[in-house]
Amino acid sequence: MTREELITHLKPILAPYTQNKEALEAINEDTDFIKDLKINSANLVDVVLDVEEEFGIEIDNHSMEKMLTVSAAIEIIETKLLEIDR
Amino acid sequence: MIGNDIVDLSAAARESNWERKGFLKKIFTKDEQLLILSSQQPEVTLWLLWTMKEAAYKIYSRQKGIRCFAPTSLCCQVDLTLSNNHPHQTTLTVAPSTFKCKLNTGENKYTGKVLIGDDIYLTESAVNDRLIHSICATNKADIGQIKAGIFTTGHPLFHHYHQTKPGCVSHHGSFLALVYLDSGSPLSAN
Repeated sequence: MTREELITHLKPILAPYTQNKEALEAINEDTDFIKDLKINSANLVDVVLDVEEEFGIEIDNHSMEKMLTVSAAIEIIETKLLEIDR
Repeated sequence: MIGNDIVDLSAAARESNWERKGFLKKIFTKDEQLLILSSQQPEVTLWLLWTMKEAAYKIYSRQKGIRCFAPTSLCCQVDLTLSNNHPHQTTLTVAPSTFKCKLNTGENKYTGKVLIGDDIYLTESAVNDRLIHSICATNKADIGQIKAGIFTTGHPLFHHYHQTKPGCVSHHGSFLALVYLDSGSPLSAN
C-alpha cells in the first residue's frame, strides 16, 4: 500500500472522532490528530484500536507513544505490516 | 508549574466505550486496571485516573518539551477513601447568569500521585455526578495554592480565558476548567 492509499484508509477511521471536519477534508501527512483534527485524547485510544482492526496489526504501547500525526501513524502501520510479511 | 484536567461525565459516556476490548489495557497499568474493575463505580474511577494522568502529563510535557501518547507510563496512586478535609478551592460558574455555586456540594475529593519515571506529581481531584476535575503540581506548597474555576458552555470566559493567563486550561464537553497559581485570577474578582 502506498502512503497515499494509507491516508485514504485512515480518513474514515479518524472521521468519527474528528471535531474539526475541515481539517479532515484537508488531511495530509502533516495533519496532527490533536492540534488539527481536535480529536480528544481519550479517543486516541479508539483510533489506535480501530487501526489495529482495520490493518490486522498490533500496535504496542511503545509504538503508540508516537502516534500523534498522520505521518507517524503511516510509519507505524508500514512497519507493522512488514513484520507480518516476514 | 501546574496542570489540570476535566472530564464531562455525560460527554465521556457518549464519546468513549471504555468496555471496548483493549481500551483499558492501552491506557492503564495492571494495578490501575485492577483498581478500576474492583471499584464500585468503574467508570468514575477510570475517568478519575485518566484526569490525574492528563493533569500530570500537561506539566511533564511542558517541563521536558516532550509530546507523546504513553498513558501506561504514567502510574497513578490514589487513595479512594475520601479526603473531604482538604478541598481545593474550586468554583463552578454556570453561564450566563452570575449564579455561582461552590462545587463542594455533594462532591468527593481524592488526593493522589502520578509517577512518571522518577518524577512525582501530586494531584487533588474533585468528583461529582456531572464531572471529574483533577489539579496537579510538583510540590505541596503549589498544589495548596491553586485556584480552580469551572465554567459551563456559554460563559464569556469560554472565548476570552487567554487574557486571564491561566496556569493550565482543560476543556471537555460542556466544561472549561482553568487553574491559577497567583492572585491575578478572575476567580478572586467576584
